[in-house]
Amino acid sequence: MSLFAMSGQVAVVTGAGRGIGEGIATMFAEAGAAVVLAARRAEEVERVAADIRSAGGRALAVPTDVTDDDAVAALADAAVAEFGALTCWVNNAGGSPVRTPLRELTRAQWNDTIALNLTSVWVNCVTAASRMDTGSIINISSRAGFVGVPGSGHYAASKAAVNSLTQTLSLELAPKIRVNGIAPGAVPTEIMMTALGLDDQSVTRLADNIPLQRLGTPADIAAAALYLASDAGAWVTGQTLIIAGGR
Amino acid sequence: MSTPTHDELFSLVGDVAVVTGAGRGIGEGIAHRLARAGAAVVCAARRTAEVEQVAADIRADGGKAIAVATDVTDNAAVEALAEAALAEFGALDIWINNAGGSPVQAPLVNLDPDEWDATLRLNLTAVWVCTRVAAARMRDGGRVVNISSRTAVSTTPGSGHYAAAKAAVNSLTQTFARELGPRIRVNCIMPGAVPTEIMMTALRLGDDDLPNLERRLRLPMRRLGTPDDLGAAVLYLVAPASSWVTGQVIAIDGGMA
Repeated sequence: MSLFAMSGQVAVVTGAGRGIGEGIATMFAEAGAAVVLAARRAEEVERVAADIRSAGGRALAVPTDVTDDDAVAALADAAVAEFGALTCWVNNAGGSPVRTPLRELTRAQWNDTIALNLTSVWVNCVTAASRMDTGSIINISSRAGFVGVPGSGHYAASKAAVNSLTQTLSLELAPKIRVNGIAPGAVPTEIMMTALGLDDQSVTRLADNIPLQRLGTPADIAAAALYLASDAGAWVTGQTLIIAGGR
Repeated sequence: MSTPTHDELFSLVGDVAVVTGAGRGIGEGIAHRLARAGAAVVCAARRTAEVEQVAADIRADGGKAIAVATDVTDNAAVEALAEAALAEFGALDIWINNAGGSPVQAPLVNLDPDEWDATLRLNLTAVWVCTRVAAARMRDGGRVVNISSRTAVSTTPGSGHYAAAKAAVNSLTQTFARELGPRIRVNCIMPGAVPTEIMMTALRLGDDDLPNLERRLRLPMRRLGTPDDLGAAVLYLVAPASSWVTGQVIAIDGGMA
C-alpha cells in the first residue's frame, strides 16, 4: 500500500544491531527503503544488514558510536555516498546500564547517560538535517520520559528531554523536515530489562498491568515509525506517540 | 509472535466499520480511506443525500459501503445504525466517532445555556453513547477512534464550549481504553487546521480567507491539512499496525508552536 510505503527513501537507523532498532530497520526495508544500520558492535549490524539483503532488501552496515560527533557525520556521509540521498533518520541508540537511585548516582554516570541518550540525539538530528533536502526524523524516547522511574531517574530525565527536543526541532526544521518521536512502553529489550531491574519471570507479570494485556514487540514500534516516516504521516510533526499497550 | 507483513499491517480486509459524520469533510475522507484498505463501511450522517453520495462513490471505487441516515444525538437512531451494520455486513469491528460541530460562536460569558447543552450533546454525550452501543456489538479486537480537535488543548476564543466538549472526549478516550481493553482499543485524533465547514465557521472564515491561511495560522508545515491526512492517521489507529496502541490522543496538525 503506497500510503505506508518507503520506496525511494534512504533511512539511517541507529542502535540497529538488535531489539527495536533491528525491528525498525527490517520493517523499513520491507516497505521499500534503503536502510543504513548503525551500532557500536560491528558484527551485530553486519548480521542485520545481511538478513535484510537476503530477504531482498537494500542495507548497509556502518559501525558507529553515536556519541562520537565525527562518527555520526561519517555515518550520514556513508548513507549519501551509498544510496545517493538521505530522507529519514531514526535516533534509536540509547541505553541505561546503571540502575541506582538519583541520590547515589555519580556525576560520571549522570554525564554518560545524558551524553548517550540526549546529547547524541541533538547532534544526530542536526547532522541528519544538514544533509536532508526533505524528510523526517524520528526520536525513540521512552514512556519513562513521562513518569517517575525509581532507580532510572537519570534515564527518564534524558528521555523527557528528548521529547522536548522533538518539539523544538519540529518547529525549527519545518516545513522541509518533520520531527516526531515514539515513546515505547514495556518492550522487553535488554535496555528495558536493565532499566527496570527485571528478570524473565518478573517481566511476564508486567503484562498484567497493561490494558492490552501483553508486552510490546519491536514490530509494534516499527509500525508506528512507518506511519510517521511514510506519506501517511506527511502532515504530522512535533508529536511523540506513546506506544505502550495503553499504560 | 510472528511479524506481520507490510501489507497485513495496514489491511482492513474482513473488517466492518461505521463512520459517523461521513457525509463530507474529514468523515468522508476517513470513509474512503477505510474502504480502500478493504473494510466494508457504513456511512452515517444526518443528511441522507450526502451519505448516499459518499457510499455510492465508495461502491463506484470498487469498495463496499452502505449509507444510514443517522442523528448521533438520538440514542435509538445510534442503536439502529449499529444494527444496520450487523444486518448488512454481519459484524462490527471499527467505529469512528467523527460527527460533531459548533455552529454558534460566542464568548463563554454570553453563551446561551441551550447552546452549551446542544454542543455537549452532539460533541461529547453522543461519543459516549455511540461508543457503548458499538462496544456492546463489536467482535473481539474491535477499535474505536474518536475525532476531537486540536482546540481541546489550545484556545479558540468564541469556541470555549466546543473546546471543552472536545477536551472531555480526550478524557473519555482514556477511560474507555482502560475499561474496554484488551478486547477493544480506543484512540483519538485531534485534527488541526483542516478547512472543513466546522473549522471555517469556528474561526469565522470564508472561502476568501483560504489563500495564505496557512501563513495566518502560522502552520509550521506551511500547508492546511486534508481529510486524507486524517484518514491516514485513522487507518494507522484501526489497522493491525497499531495493535499495541490504546488510550492515545494524537494531534495531527502540521506542527504547532
